[in-house]
Amino acid sequence: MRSIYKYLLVIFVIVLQGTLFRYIAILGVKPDALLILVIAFSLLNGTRESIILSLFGGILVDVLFNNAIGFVTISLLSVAYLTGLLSKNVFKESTFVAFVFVFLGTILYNLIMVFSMLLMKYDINPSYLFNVIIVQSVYNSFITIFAYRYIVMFNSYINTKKFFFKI
Amino acid sequence: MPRFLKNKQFIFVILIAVALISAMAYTYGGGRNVTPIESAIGSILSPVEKVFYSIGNNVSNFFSSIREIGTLRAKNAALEKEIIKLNKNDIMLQEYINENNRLRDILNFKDNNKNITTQPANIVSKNPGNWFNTFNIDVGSDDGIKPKMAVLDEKGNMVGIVTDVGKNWAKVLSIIDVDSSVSAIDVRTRDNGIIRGDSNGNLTMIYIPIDSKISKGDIITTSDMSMFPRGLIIGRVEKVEKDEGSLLKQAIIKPEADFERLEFVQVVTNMKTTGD
Repeated sequence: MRSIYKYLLVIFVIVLQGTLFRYIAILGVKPDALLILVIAFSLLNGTRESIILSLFGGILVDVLFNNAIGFVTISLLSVAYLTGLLSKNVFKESTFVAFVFVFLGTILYNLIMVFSMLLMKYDINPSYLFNVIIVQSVYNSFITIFAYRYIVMFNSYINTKKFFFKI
Repeated sequence: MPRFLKNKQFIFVILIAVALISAMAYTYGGGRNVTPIESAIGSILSPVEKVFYSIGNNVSNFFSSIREIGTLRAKNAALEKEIIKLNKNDIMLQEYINENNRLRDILNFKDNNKNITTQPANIVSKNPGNWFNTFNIDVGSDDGIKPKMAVLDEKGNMVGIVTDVGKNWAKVLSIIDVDSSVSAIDVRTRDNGIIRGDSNGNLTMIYIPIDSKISKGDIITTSDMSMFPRGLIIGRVEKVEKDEGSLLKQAIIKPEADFERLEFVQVVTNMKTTGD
Protein backbone atom coordinates (compact mmCIF):
# COMPACT_ATOMS: atom_id res chain seq x y z
CA MET A 1 0.00 0.00 0.00
CA ARG A 2 2.94 2.30 0.58
CA SER A 3 3.56 2.32 -3.16
CA ILE A 4 0.66 4.75 -3.57
CA TYR A 5 3.12 7.44 -2.40
CA LYS A 6 5.16 6.70 -5.49
CA TYR A 7 2.23 7.47 -7.79
CA LEU A 8 1.36 10.57 -5.78
CA LEU A 9 4.96 11.70 -6.18
CA VAL A 10 4.71 11.22 -9.95
CA ILE A 11 1.50 13.29 -10.10
CA PHE A 12 3.07 16.00 -7.93
CA VAL A 13 6.14 16.17 -10.17
CA ILE A 14 3.98 16.45 -13.30
CA VAL A 15 1.97 19.30 -11.77
CA LEU A 16 5.17 21.09 -10.70
CA GLN A 17 6.60 20.67 -14.16
CA GLY A 18 3.58 22.23 -15.82
CA THR A 19 3.46 25.18 -13.47
CA LEU A 20 6.65 26.19 -11.67
CA PHE A 21 9.48 24.63 -13.69
CA ARG A 22 9.45 27.45 -16.25
CA TYR A 23 11.11 29.66 -13.62
CA ILE A 24 14.15 27.37 -13.39
CA ALA A 25 14.70 27.06 -17.15
CA ILE A 26 18.31 27.50 -18.29
CA LEU A 27 18.73 28.90 -21.82
CA GLY A 28 15.00 28.35 -22.25
CA VAL A 29 15.30 24.64 -21.52
CA LYS A 30 13.39 23.06 -18.65
CA PRO A 31 14.66 19.94 -16.87
CA ASP A 32 12.45 16.84 -16.99
CA ALA A 33 11.85 15.65 -13.43
CA LEU A 34 9.39 12.97 -14.54
CA LEU A 35 12.07 11.37 -16.71
CA ILE A 36 14.60 11.43 -13.85
CA LEU A 37 12.09 9.83 -11.51
CA VAL A 38 11.04 7.11 -13.95
CA ILE A 39 14.65 6.26 -14.85
CA ALA A 40 15.62 6.13 -11.19
CA PHE A 41 12.77 3.80 -10.23
CA SER A 42 13.37 1.57 -13.28
CA LEU A 43 17.02 1.32 -12.29
CA LEU A 44 16.13 0.34 -8.75
CA ASN A 45 13.18 -1.98 -9.35
CA GLY A 46 13.57 -3.46 -12.83
CA THR A 47 11.47 -3.81 -15.98
CA ARG A 48 8.03 -4.43 -14.46
CA GLU A 49 8.22 -1.19 -12.54
CA SER A 50 9.52 0.66 -15.61
CA ILE A 51 6.52 -0.34 -17.74
CA ILE A 52 3.92 0.53 -15.09
CA LEU A 53 5.46 3.87 -14.08
CA SER A 54 6.20 5.09 -17.59
CA LEU A 55 2.69 4.26 -18.77
CA PHE A 56 1.16 5.99 -15.73
CA GLY A 57 3.28 9.14 -15.93
CA GLY A 58 3.46 9.34 -19.70
CA ILE A 59 -0.25 8.99 -20.34
CA LEU A 60 -0.99 11.54 -17.63
CA VAL A 61 1.33 14.09 -19.27
CA ASP A 62 -0.04 13.33 -22.72
CA VAL A 63 -3.67 13.64 -21.69
CA LEU A 64 -3.06 16.83 -19.76
CA PHE A 65 -0.76 18.72 -22.07
CA ASN A 66 -0.13 17.21 -25.50
CA ASN A 67 -2.12 17.20 -28.70
CA ALA A 68 -0.90 13.79 -29.84
CA ILE A 69 -1.60 11.22 -27.11
CA GLY A 70 1.30 8.80 -26.80
CA PHE A 71 4.01 11.27 -27.74
CA VAL A 72 5.70 11.41 -24.33
CA THR A 73 4.60 7.92 -23.29
CA ILE A 74 6.34 6.08 -26.10
CA SER A 75 9.66 7.87 -25.54
CA LEU A 76 9.42 7.37 -21.80
CA LEU A 77 8.48 3.71 -22.18
CA SER A 78 11.42 2.91 -24.46
CA VAL A 79 13.97 4.65 -22.25
CA ALA A 80 12.57 3.20 -19.02
CA TYR A 81 12.33 -0.34 -20.39
CA LEU A 82 15.93 -0.22 -21.64
CA THR A 83 17.04 1.07 -18.24
CA GLY A 84 15.12 -1.72 -16.55
CA LEU A 85 16.78 -4.36 -18.74
CA LEU A 86 20.27 -2.99 -18.12
CA SER A 87 19.73 -2.49 -14.39
CA LYS A 88 20.48 -6.18 -13.67
CA ASN A 89 24.11 -5.68 -14.55
CA VAL A 90 24.98 -2.52 -12.63
CA PHE A 91 25.43 -1.39 -9.07
CA LYS A 92 22.04 0.25 -8.57
CA GLU A 93 22.54 2.45 -5.54
CA SER A 94 25.52 4.30 -7.01
CA THR A 95 24.85 7.92 -7.89
CA PHE A 96 27.39 7.75 -10.68
CA VAL A 97 25.51 4.92 -12.41
CA ALA A 98 22.26 6.92 -12.18
CA PHE A 99 24.11 9.98 -13.54
CA VAL A 100 25.22 8.04 -16.62
CA PHE A 101 21.80 6.47 -17.13
CA VAL A 102 20.00 9.82 -16.89
CA PHE A 103 22.48 11.54 -19.21
CA LEU A 104 22.21 8.91 -21.94
CA GLY A 105 18.51 8.36 -21.23
CA THR A 106 17.69 12.05 -21.77
CA ILE A 107 19.50 12.05 -25.10
CA LEU A 108 17.63 8.93 -26.25
CA TYR A 109 14.32 10.28 -24.92
CA ASN A 110 14.68 13.49 -26.89
CA LEU A 111 15.86 11.71 -30.03
CA ILE A 112 12.77 9.48 -30.00
CA MET A 113 10.62 12.60 -29.56
CA VAL A 114 12.37 14.32 -32.48
CA PHE A 115 11.82 11.21 -34.56
CA SER A 116 8.08 11.22 -33.80
CA MET A 117 7.97 14.93 -34.59
CA LEU A 118 9.56 14.25 -37.97
CA LEU A 119 6.89 11.62 -38.62
CA MET A 120 4.25 14.23 -37.82
CA LYS A 121 5.85 16.62 -40.35
CA TYR A 122 7.12 19.26 -37.96
CA ASP A 123 9.68 21.81 -39.12
CA ILE A 124 12.48 21.56 -36.59
CA ASN A 125 15.33 24.01 -36.42
CA PRO A 126 18.51 21.83 -36.17
CA SER A 127 20.49 24.25 -33.99
CA TYR A 128 17.60 24.56 -31.54
CA LEU A 129 17.26 20.79 -31.46
CA PHE A 130 20.93 20.32 -30.61
CA ASN A 131 20.70 22.99 -27.92
CA VAL A 132 17.69 21.47 -26.21
CA ILE A 133 19.08 17.95 -26.15
CA ILE A 134 22.53 18.86 -24.82
CA VAL A 135 21.34 21.41 -22.25
CA GLN A 136 18.61 19.14 -20.97
CA SER A 137 20.91 16.13 -20.63
CA VAL A 138 23.43 18.12 -18.62
CA TYR A 139 20.72 19.75 -16.51
CA ASN A 140 18.91 16.48 -15.80
CA SER A 141 22.03 14.57 -14.86
CA PHE A 142 23.15 17.47 -12.67
CA ILE A 143 19.86 17.28 -10.77
CA THR A 144 20.28 13.51 -10.47
CA ILE A 145 23.58 13.91 -8.61
CA PHE A 146 21.75 15.66 -5.77
CA ALA A 147 18.38 13.92 -5.91
CA TYR A 148 19.31 10.27 -6.43
CA ARG A 149 20.22 9.37 -2.86
CA TYR A 150 16.83 10.67 -1.68
CA ILE A 151 15.06 8.62 -4.35
CA VAL A 152 16.98 5.53 -3.16
CA MET A 153 15.93 6.26 0.44
CA PHE A 154 12.33 6.80 -0.62
CA ASN A 155 12.35 3.57 -2.62
CA SER A 156 13.76 1.46 0.21
CA TYR A 157 11.20 3.02 2.55
CA ILE A 158 8.36 1.93 0.25
CA ASN A 159 9.76 -1.57 -0.29
CA THR A 160 10.54 -2.38 3.36
CA LYS A 161 7.09 -1.33 4.45
CA LYS A 162 5.59 -3.58 1.81
CA PHE A 163 7.68 -6.47 3.10
CA PHE A 164 6.53 -5.71 6.62
CA PHE A 165 2.87 -6.08 5.73
CA LYS A 166 3.32 -9.21 3.66
CA ILE A 167 1.30 -12.15 4.96
CA MET B 1 12.58 -18.53 -33.34
CA PRO B 2 14.76 -15.71 -31.96
CA ARG B 3 15.24 -15.75 -28.23
CA PHE B 4 13.69 -12.35 -27.53
CA LEU B 5 10.34 -13.48 -28.92
CA LYS B 6 10.06 -15.92 -26.03
CA ASN B 7 10.14 -13.04 -23.57
CA LYS B 8 6.46 -12.30 -22.87
CA GLN B 9 7.23 -8.93 -21.28
CA PHE B 10 9.09 -7.75 -24.37
CA ILE B 11 6.17 -8.69 -26.62
CA PHE B 12 3.87 -6.85 -24.23
CA VAL B 13 6.01 -3.70 -24.51
CA ILE B 14 5.98 -3.94 -28.30
CA LEU B 15 2.19 -4.26 -28.28
CA ILE B 16 1.86 -1.19 -26.05
CA ALA B 17 4.19 0.74 -28.35
CA VAL B 18 2.07 -0.15 -31.40
CA ALA B 19 -1.08 0.89 -29.53
CA LEU B 20 0.54 4.19 -28.56
CA ILE B 21 1.62 4.93 -32.13
CA SER B 22 -1.95 4.33 -33.34
CA ALA B 23 -3.26 6.58 -30.57
CA MET B 24 -0.77 9.24 -31.64
CA ALA B 25 -1.88 9.02 -35.28
CA TYR B 26 -5.54 9.16 -34.24
CA THR B 27 -5.33 12.12 -31.88
CA TYR B 28 -2.68 14.19 -33.70
CA GLY B 29 -3.83 17.57 -34.91
CA GLY B 30 -6.25 18.33 -32.10
CA GLY B 31 -9.62 19.88 -32.77
CA ARG B 32 -11.63 17.30 -30.88
CA ASN B 33 -13.75 17.22 -27.77
CA VAL B 34 -11.78 14.92 -25.49
CA THR B 35 -13.13 11.65 -24.13
CA PRO B 36 -14.84 11.64 -20.69
CA ILE B 37 -11.84 9.93 -19.05
CA GLU B 38 -9.40 12.57 -20.28
CA SER B 39 -11.86 15.28 -19.34
CA ALA B 40 -12.12 13.88 -15.81
CA ILE B 41 -8.33 13.70 -15.38
CA GLY B 42 -8.08 17.34 -16.45
CA SER B 43 -10.94 18.38 -14.17
CA ILE B 44 -9.26 16.80 -11.15
CA LEU B 45 -5.79 18.21 -11.77
CA SER B 46 -6.66 21.65 -13.19
CA PRO B 47 -7.57 23.24 -9.82
CA VAL B 48 -4.31 21.95 -8.29
CA GLU B 49 -2.31 23.30 -11.21
CA LYS B 50 -4.13 26.62 -11.00
CA VAL B 51 -2.98 27.06 -7.37
CA PHE B 52 0.66 26.32 -8.20
CA TYR B 53 0.59 28.49 -11.31
CA SER B 54 -0.79 31.50 -9.44
CA ILE B 55 1.75 31.00 -6.62
CA GLY B 56 4.54 31.12 -9.21
CA ASN B 57 3.06 34.21 -10.85
CA ASN B 58 2.60 36.04 -7.56
CA VAL B 59 6.20 35.40 -6.51
CA SER B 60 7.60 36.53 -9.85
CA ASN B 61 5.32 39.60 -9.91
CA PHE B 62 6.57 40.53 -6.45
CA PHE B 63 10.19 40.47 -7.58
CA SER B 64 9.52 42.30 -10.84
CA SER B 65 7.61 45.04 -9.02
CA ILE B 66 10.59 45.56 -6.70
CA ARG B 67 12.76 45.98 -9.78
CA GLU B 68 10.34 48.50 -11.33
CA ILE B 69 10.02 50.87 -8.35
CA GLY B 70 12.88 53.13 -9.47
CA THR B 71 11.50 53.76 -12.93
CA LEU B 72 7.86 54.34 -11.97
CA ARG B 73 7.93 58.16 -11.92
CA ALA B 74 9.52 58.54 -15.35
CA LYS B 75 7.19 55.93 -16.78
CA ASN B 76 4.14 57.70 -15.37
CA ALA B 77 5.13 61.02 -16.95
CA ALA B 78 5.64 59.35 -20.32
CA LEU B 79 2.28 57.61 -20.11
CA GLU B 80 0.47 60.87 -19.26
CA LYS B 81 1.93 62.47 -22.38
CA GLU B 82 0.80 59.43 -24.33
CA ILE B 83 -2.77 59.80 -23.02
CA ILE B 84 -2.99 63.41 -24.20
CA LYS B 85 -1.78 62.37 -27.63
CA LEU B 86 -4.20 59.45 -27.81
CA ASN B 87 -7.14 61.63 -26.78
CA LYS B 88 -6.45 63.92 -29.74
CA ASN B 89 -6.21 60.88 -32.01
CA ASP B 90 -9.47 59.52 -30.65
CA ILE B 91 -11.41 62.64 -31.57
CA MET B 92 -9.96 62.48 -35.07
CA LEU B 93 -10.89 58.81 -35.37
CA GLN B 94 -14.48 59.51 -34.30
CA GLU B 95 -14.73 61.94 -37.19
CA TYR B 96 -13.41 59.31 -39.57
CA ILE B 97 -15.81 56.66 -38.25
CA ASN B 98 -18.78 58.95 -38.76
CA GLU B 99 -17.63 59.88 -42.23
CA ASN B 100 -17.02 56.23 -43.07
CA ASN B 101 -20.48 55.19 -41.88
CA ARG B 102 -22.09 57.99 -43.92
CA LEU B 103 -20.22 56.96 -47.06
CA ARG B 104 -21.02 53.27 -46.45
CA ASP B 105 -24.70 54.13 -46.25
CA ILE B 106 -24.52 56.01 -49.53
CA LEU B 107 -22.80 53.06 -51.26
CA ASN B 108 -24.93 50.34 -49.56
CA PHE B 109 -21.70 48.68 -48.46
CA LYS B 110 -22.16 45.70 -46.13
CA ASP B 111 -20.65 46.23 -42.69
CA ASN B 112 -18.46 43.22 -41.98
CA ASN B 113 -16.65 44.60 -38.95
CA LYS B 114 -18.45 42.37 -36.50
CA ASN B 115 -17.76 43.01 -32.83
CA ILE B 116 -16.11 40.07 -31.11
CA THR B 117 -17.48 38.56 -27.92
CA THR B 118 -15.01 37.02 -25.52
CA GLN B 119 -14.94 34.68 -22.57
CA PRO B 120 -12.24 35.41 -19.97
CA ALA B 121 -10.07 32.54 -18.72
CA ASN B 122 -7.10 31.87 -16.45
CA ILE B 123 -4.05 29.94 -17.55
CA VAL B 124 -3.59 26.90 -15.31
CA SER B 125 -0.40 25.35 -16.69
CA LYS B 126 2.08 25.31 -19.53
CA ASN B 127 3.48 22.39 -21.48
CA PRO B 128 6.13 20.67 -19.33
CA GLY B 129 8.26 19.68 -22.32
CA ASN B 130 10.62 21.81 -24.37
CA TRP B 131 9.31 21.04 -27.84
CA PHE B 132 5.81 22.48 -27.78
CA ASN B 133 4.34 25.83 -26.81
CA THR B 134 0.92 24.93 -25.50
CA PHE B 135 -0.94 25.91 -22.37
CA ASN B 136 -4.15 24.93 -20.60
CA ILE B 137 -6.97 27.27 -19.59
CA ASP B 138 -9.73 26.82 -17.03
CA VAL B 139 -12.79 27.12 -19.29
CA GLY B 140 -14.22 24.34 -21.43
CA SER B 141 -17.28 23.06 -23.23
CA ASP B 142 -19.43 24.04 -20.22
CA ASP B 143 -18.62 27.68 -20.99
CA GLY B 144 -19.30 27.33 -24.70
CA ILE B 145 -15.70 26.83 -25.79
CA LYS B 146 -15.22 24.87 -29.02
CA PRO B 147 -12.09 23.70 -30.84
CA LYS B 148 -10.42 26.16 -33.26
CA MET B 149 -11.51 29.29 -31.38
CA ALA B 150 -9.00 32.15 -31.20
CA VAL B 151 -7.39 33.03 -27.88
CA LEU B 152 -6.34 36.62 -27.08
CA ASP B 153 -4.31 38.07 -24.23
CA GLU B 154 -5.82 40.67 -21.90
CA LYS B 155 -4.97 43.53 -24.30
CA GLY B 156 -6.57 41.77 -27.27
CA ASN B 157 -3.44 40.52 -29.05
CA MET B 158 -3.66 37.09 -30.64
CA VAL B 159 -1.90 34.36 -28.61
CA GLY B 160 -3.27 31.03 -29.77
CA ILE B 161 -5.89 28.58 -30.95
CA VAL B 162 -8.01 26.22 -28.84
CA THR B 163 -7.24 22.62 -29.82
CA ASP B 164 -8.75 20.07 -27.44
CA VAL B 165 -11.70 20.92 -25.21
CA GLY B 166 -12.60 19.16 -21.96
CA LYS B 167 -15.56 19.82 -19.70
CA ASN B 168 -14.04 22.70 -17.75
CA TRP B 169 -10.58 22.95 -19.26
CA ALA B 170 -9.06 23.29 -22.72
CA LYS B 171 -5.68 23.00 -24.41
CA VAL B 172 -4.44 26.01 -26.37
CA LEU B 173 -1.76 25.95 -29.07
CA SER B 174 0.29 29.19 -29.01
CA ILE B 175 0.94 30.93 -32.30
CA ILE B 176 4.69 30.68 -31.57
CA ASP B 177 4.50 26.86 -31.71
CA VAL B 178 6.08 25.34 -34.82
CA ASP B 179 2.82 23.55 -35.59
CA SER B 180 0.62 26.65 -35.75
CA SER B 181 -0.19 28.62 -38.88
CA VAL B 182 -2.43 31.67 -39.15
CA SER B 183 -3.44 33.63 -42.22
CA ALA B 184 -2.28 37.22 -41.73
CA ILE B 185 -2.17 40.59 -43.42
CA ASP B 186 0.10 43.65 -43.24
CA VAL B 187 -2.13 46.54 -42.14
CA ARG B 188 -0.23 49.19 -44.13
CA THR B 189 0.59 47.43 -47.40
CA ARG B 190 -2.27 44.85 -47.41
CA ASP B 191 0.12 41.97 -48.20
CA ASN B 192 -1.23 38.56 -47.30
CA GLY B 193 0.89 35.80 -45.83
CA ILE B 194 0.94 32.89 -43.43
CA ILE B 195 2.29 33.32 -39.90
CA ARG B 196 4.14 30.34 -38.49
CA GLY B 197 6.05 29.89 -35.26
CA ASP B 198 9.78 29.31 -35.26
CA SER B 199 11.24 27.61 -32.25
CA ASN B 200 12.98 30.75 -30.91
CA GLY B 201 9.82 32.44 -29.65
CA ASN B 202 9.43 34.58 -32.76
CA LEU B 203 7.14 34.24 -35.75
CA THR B 204 7.89 34.05 -39.44
CA MET B 205 5.51 35.34 -42.08
CA ILE B 206 5.90 33.34 -45.27
CA TYR B 207 4.43 33.53 -48.80
CA ILE B 208 4.79 37.33 -49.03
CA PRO B 209 4.85 38.50 -52.70
CA ILE B 210 8.28 39.54 -53.99
CA ASP B 211 7.14 43.07 -54.96
CA SER B 212 5.69 43.76 -51.52
CA LYS B 213 6.78 46.95 -49.75
CA ILE B 214 6.53 45.38 -46.30
CA SER B 215 9.06 46.98 -43.96
CA LYS B 216 10.25 47.04 -40.38
CA GLY B 217 7.70 48.20 -37.81
CA ASP B 218 4.57 47.32 -39.81
CA ILE B 219 1.69 45.87 -37.78
CA ILE B 220 0.48 42.41 -38.76
CA THR B 221 -3.10 41.35 -38.01
CA THR B 222 -5.26 38.34 -38.83
CA SER B 223 -6.69 38.56 -42.32
CA ASP B 224 -10.25 38.20 -43.50
CA MET B 225 -9.43 34.90 -45.19
CA SER B 226 -8.75 32.99 -41.97
CA MET B 227 -11.37 31.47 -39.72
CA PHE B 228 -10.59 34.08 -37.07
CA PRO B 229 -12.22 37.49 -36.86
CA ARG B 230 -10.14 39.95 -38.82
CA GLY B 231 -8.01 42.63 -37.25
CA LEU B 232 -6.65 40.71 -34.27
CA ILE B 233 -3.14 42.07 -33.73
CA ILE B 234 -0.42 39.45 -34.04
CA GLY B 235 2.84 41.40 -33.99
CA ARG B 236 5.26 43.79 -35.63
CA VAL B 237 7.71 43.19 -38.47
CA GLU B 238 11.26 42.90 -37.16
CA LYS B 239 13.18 42.02 -40.31
CA VAL B 240 12.35 41.29 -43.95
CA GLU B 241 14.44 38.76 -45.80
CA LYS B 242 14.50 37.31 -49.29
CA ASP B 243 15.92 33.90 -50.03
CA GLU B 244 18.31 33.77 -52.98
CA GLY B 245 16.49 32.26 -55.93
CA SER B 246 13.14 32.28 -54.19
CA LEU B 247 10.15 34.06 -55.68
CA LEU B 248 8.73 35.01 -52.32
CA LYS B 249 9.78 37.12 -49.37
CA GLN B 250 9.54 36.23 -45.73
CA ALA B 251 9.56 38.37 -42.62
CA ILE B 252 10.46 37.84 -38.99
CA ILE B 253 7.60 39.01 -36.79
CA LYS B 254 7.95 39.88 -33.12
CA PRO B 255 4.73 38.83 -31.36
CA GLU B 256 2.90 41.65 -29.58
CA ALA B 257 1.75 39.41 -26.70
CA ASP B 258 4.23 38.61 -23.94
CA PHE B 259 4.20 34.83 -23.86
CA GLU B 260 6.48 34.57 -20.83
CA ARG B 261 4.18 36.50 -18.53
CA LEU B 262 0.74 35.42 -19.72
CA GLU B 263 -1.71 35.01 -16.88
CA PHE B 264 -5.20 35.86 -18.10
CA VAL B 265 -6.49 35.28 -21.60
CA GLN B 266 -9.81 35.70 -23.41
CA VAL B 267 -11.36 33.26 -25.84
CA VAL B 268 -13.22 34.66 -28.85
CA THR B 269 -16.57 32.88 -28.83
CA ASN B 270 -18.15 34.12 -32.05
CA MET B 271 -15.97 32.54 -34.70
CA LYS B 272 -17.03 32.41 -38.33
CA THR B 273 -16.93 28.65 -38.76
CA THR B 274 -18.28 27.64 -35.38
CA GLY B 275 -21.29 29.97 -35.64
CA ASP B 276 -22.41 32.72 -33.33
